[in-house]
Amino acid sequence: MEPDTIERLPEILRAYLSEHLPDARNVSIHNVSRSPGGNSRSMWFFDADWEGEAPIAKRLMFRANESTCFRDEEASLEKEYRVFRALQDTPVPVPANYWYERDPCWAGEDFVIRERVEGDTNFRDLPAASQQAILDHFVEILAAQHNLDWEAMGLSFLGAPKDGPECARMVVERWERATKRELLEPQPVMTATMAWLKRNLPTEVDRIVLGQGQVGPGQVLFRGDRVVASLDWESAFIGDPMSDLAYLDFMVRPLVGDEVVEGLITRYGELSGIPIRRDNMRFYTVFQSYWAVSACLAAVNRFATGEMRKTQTLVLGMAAPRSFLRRMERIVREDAA
Amino acid sequence: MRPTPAEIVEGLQYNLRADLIPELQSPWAKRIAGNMLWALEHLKQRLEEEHALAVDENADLRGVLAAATTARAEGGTLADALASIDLAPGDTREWPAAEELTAENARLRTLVDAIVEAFPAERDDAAEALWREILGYIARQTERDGALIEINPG
Repeated sequence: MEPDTIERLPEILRAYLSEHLPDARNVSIHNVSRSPGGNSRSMWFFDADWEGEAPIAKRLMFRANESTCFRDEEASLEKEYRVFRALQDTPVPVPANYWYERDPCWAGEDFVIRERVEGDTNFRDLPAASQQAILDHFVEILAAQHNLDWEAMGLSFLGAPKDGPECARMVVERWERATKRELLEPQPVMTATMAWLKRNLPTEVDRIVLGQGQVGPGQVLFRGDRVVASLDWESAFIGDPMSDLAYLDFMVRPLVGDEVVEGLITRYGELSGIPIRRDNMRFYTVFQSYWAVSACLAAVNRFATGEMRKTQTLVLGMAAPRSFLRRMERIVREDAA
Repeated sequence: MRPTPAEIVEGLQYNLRADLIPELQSPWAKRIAGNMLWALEHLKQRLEEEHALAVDENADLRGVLAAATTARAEGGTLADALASIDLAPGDTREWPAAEELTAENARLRTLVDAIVEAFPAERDDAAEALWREILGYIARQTERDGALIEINPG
């Protein structure tokens, strides 16, 4: 957002809530602060107060459409908002999303106003027992999520594969297009990895589910040993559940070790009733590295072309994908050995 | 000219660390200051090392193209797959300017990328040897970029 919009944000929020809460009087806005969390979209925390009645929480978040790394074709704010709304009142805990605003007269771009749930995100520094308890609860949520009837929830707009083989093919084609669109200079490692992905497309998928895309610690809020909110749905998709499981695996295995992760995978299988397909998980581990680098290429593109010349865009685009690039380089080399 | 650009960057890093960051209150401002420290360190590394790394990179790419030319001439699975790619690496000056190196790199990488894209799924011995050559280049290229990006800004 433009600096003058940021400066006027408290007044923008006061005017917006006043207009959208007809039974509230004397709306006031306090404690507006930029959220340091998240890498993709700009977010601000704020508190609101009013006299009279209003059907929303008083601790709120403003999430702007401005994104360092995603384009609307792959991950729009509106898509995320619709997924959040569909998940309301399901076993997946999510903050209430109140408004998706398209009119640029308010802040110059689209935005969402949502409930701010109290909780922690710093999973890494927790004692091992707490980490295990949170992951146990998270796996229950993930299994329930993968059992949701996404068609009945109105989520077919995410793009539903017609069969198992199409699950992987769709995401690979989508992100190959995105990569080619964003690349400013050739990256043979991306091309070699894409060749690997096309050679190893999974064909067996036991259930086509609502996937989250980015899963587990870092994407959830917890209080004590319980997950209280699942936060990140901009990469949601309809497809192979092994994709989410692969993401969870590679995010938490370095933190909690093999034994805990294998226990989580077994428990997920029991709770969801979905067989664990290790070959699919391996494929999605490689795909998610490709996906992460591809998203970061959009950040490099935005910085280099002047679309978003901010250091957060630069650092996300250049520094964040390094571990994924190294992983991809290693896998294509091992595959050739 | 003294001070060098890298020395000036070090001065900026010092003031950011010693004078500005301690005064910052909000977590967001501190995060952005951290990003700025990273960007300054990256800039310093590029000022000091990018030219030499670009020379290495382009020589490496020329090596891959030479290997591809030899492998294609042997016939087999590569002859058809690479038939439409112009493998000539083009000329280079002995002491190229940074902009020339960048342009040359884009041209050479485009050729190597085209080879990777066209590479046959079924590989005979010559193709297997060239693929290993390409993977070697990719590993070295990842290392070279890493030297400029995987940095500790302090």
